Amino acid sequence: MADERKPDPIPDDAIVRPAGGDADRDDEFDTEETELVAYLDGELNEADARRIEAHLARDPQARAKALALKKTYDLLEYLPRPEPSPNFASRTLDRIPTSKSAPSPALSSPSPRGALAASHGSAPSATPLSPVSSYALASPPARWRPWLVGGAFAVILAMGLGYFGDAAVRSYLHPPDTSLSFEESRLVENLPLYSGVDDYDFLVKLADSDKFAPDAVLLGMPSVVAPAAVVQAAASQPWGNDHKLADAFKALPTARQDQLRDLDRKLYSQSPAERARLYQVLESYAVWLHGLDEPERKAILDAASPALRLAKIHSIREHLWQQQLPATLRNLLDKAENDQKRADLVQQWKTEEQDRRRNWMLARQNWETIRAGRVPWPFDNEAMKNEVNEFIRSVLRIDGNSSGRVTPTEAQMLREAREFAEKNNAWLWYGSDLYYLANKYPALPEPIGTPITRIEDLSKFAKKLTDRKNLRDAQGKWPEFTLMIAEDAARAKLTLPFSLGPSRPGEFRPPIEAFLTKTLLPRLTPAERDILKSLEGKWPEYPRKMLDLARKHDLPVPGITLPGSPRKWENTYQPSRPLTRPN
Amino acid sequence: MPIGQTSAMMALRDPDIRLMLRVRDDDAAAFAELVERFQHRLVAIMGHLVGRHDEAEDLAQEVFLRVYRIRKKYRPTAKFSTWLFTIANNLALNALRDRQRRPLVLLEVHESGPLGPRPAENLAPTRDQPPTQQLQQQELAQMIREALEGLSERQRIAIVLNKFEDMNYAEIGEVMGLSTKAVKSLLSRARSKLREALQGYIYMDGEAPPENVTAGSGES
Repeated sequence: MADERKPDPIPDDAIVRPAGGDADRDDEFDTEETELVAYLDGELNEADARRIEAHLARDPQARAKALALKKTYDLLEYLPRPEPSPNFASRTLDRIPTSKSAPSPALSSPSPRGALAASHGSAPSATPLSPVSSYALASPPARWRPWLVGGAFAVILAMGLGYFGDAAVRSYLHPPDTSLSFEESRLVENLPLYSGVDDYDFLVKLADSDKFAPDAVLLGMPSVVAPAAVVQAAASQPWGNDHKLADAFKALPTARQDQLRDLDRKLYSQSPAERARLYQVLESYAVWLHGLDEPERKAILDAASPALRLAKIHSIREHLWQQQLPATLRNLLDKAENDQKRADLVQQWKTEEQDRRRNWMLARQNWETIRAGRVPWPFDNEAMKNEVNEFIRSVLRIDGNSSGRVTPTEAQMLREAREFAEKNNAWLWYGSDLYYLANKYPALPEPIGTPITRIEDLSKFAKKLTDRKNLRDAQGKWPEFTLMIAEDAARAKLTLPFSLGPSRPGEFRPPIEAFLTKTLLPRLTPAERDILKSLEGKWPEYPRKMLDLARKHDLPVPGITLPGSPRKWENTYQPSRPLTRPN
Repeated sequence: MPIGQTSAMMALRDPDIRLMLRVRDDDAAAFAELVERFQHRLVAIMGHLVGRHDEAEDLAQEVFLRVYRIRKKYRPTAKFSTWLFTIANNLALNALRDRQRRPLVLLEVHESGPLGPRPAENLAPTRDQPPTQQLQQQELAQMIREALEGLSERQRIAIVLNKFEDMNYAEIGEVMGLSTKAVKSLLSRARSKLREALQGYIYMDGEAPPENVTAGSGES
């Protein structure tokens, strides 16, 4: 430092001559002292410094003064350095303009995310920090490369959490709690996957949109399934080590933490199959998100509400889908006369593609059967085939030209599939169509008497219920009509003076009654029995739970579900089941 | 100051500037990082300026909030800390001036403040005893604080920036909106005042100062 310089021996003829121009506003002030201070501070140019040094060498008083100036200045180091209190940073961040109590006007959604955005949002005048992007956007733009899956997750993590970088510094404010509960450590492990997701509801919608199905790769989409092994490897990378992840999690705003906890809890309360399906969606989505160009990713993360985010995802995927079309198809699209024609073409190709995709999935699942030229279960057995026919007739009510509970198109589709199957001895597609319809139109056990399926059955209560157009359309359909009534009654907080359907043992028709008391109840665990018992008298909750439990115990319900093992149906005919699921 | 390509490139190499650019682009994580990175320096500077810890934190917080509010206006200049401390300077100056307008509050505040000076008479007996050894470090700190309080607001700011932020005159000038010459004058007057106030507490060791200067504390 300059003030530690020792005066060098300087020729005595050196002249101290502070320049007059250096006079400050206070002209009386001792210019000698000004120069001395500037000298001590190393602020003089070489020539002036030499002059001062010469002066100091000659003048003991000046030397003493310089020393006193330096030493008194050094004394200031005795002042204790004021340090910020431990919560200073968090208090400061909490005060960022949009206050927690006032919902940000920039947000269209009143969801808990509002609170998130608010706590780290921006002033209304500025570009609003959207809920997700407020803890996103920290990532460098990176192009997707399939071999970079591990690294991809690092980026997604940084991108989705944003606070990641901050977490390291914050960690000493909130010393990392090494004793994470089991649930928390699981949540922390999954953090890279959760970060671009709002909540469980969002995830389910994402999954249902079928955009991130495991076979997305068949669509030529750059989104791929991240094999479990890769994800695991990625999770063991240094960035992914739990410590940092835990810090990153803790650095998130509390509301966001709660949201993620809720997501994790709900995800893990699903059946293993459903969880595997959603988990796979999470992976595909995360990888896909990472592979997007920055502006597109930002558009998704910046969306102000989950619904807008889904819409954005949809439109970007749609766009990418069109881009990957073969040139000939793209040309057709370009030449289409108007938007409607274009939309029709896209719709048509998508349907075709979906069919192809489903067929491929099925074929892959049943490769052995196909290769061996075998007829797949349950059509390999005449008795089962008859049972299936009975199911179609009595449960779906497709009979002759009547489409029953399904739409005429669906009934036609099933008939064609059946013809195709018989002609080509290719039953896979027929089974798959049937399985699809059985799931789309779940049946419920009928009451002993006549089911309530007409408006006049309701007498005066009908007036209190919403006169929905589709209520009329559903007339005569069990359980569709009756379910609508139950819904309307619940919405109107109306207690119906009559029972809509069987909802306790003793109220079912004999085959179901026998199934319930002799087959199902004995197999239930005490907890399951309690749950079912607690729903007695509630329709449709009781029979629905009963069917759930039957499915869980892999029991077909006579006259209600497809004949044979529900699990076997699923394994054979459910095309979107995760490929990697052990079974 | 317009930045040429070179200085722009250099600016981008400065991690603080890069961080602030992320803040400007609404990266909330960057803002949190900024607070983490500068809180110690800002609270320290404000603490030295106002003498009270809570007030210092309030002021430092104001600085950060103002940074956030005007983030869109940020343009990379030579040094990020200069920009930051310009904001700090304005806020500190206002606070110190406000304080002057409310002397009664100031008095109360000072009596209760942990860093506030104690009544001078408490320290009077030791005042003329040269070696600082005999003073409790805390009491010495009180004396230094008192000496700082004796400076004008601008002198104090210049001193604190120079001493605790290692800013040179040009940087201080930029922060305070003064010419380098004005800073030079401001600082030398401040240093002179400090010397007068504190000379009694220094060892004139090493250099074996001339006898006629050892009693320098009585000079003024």
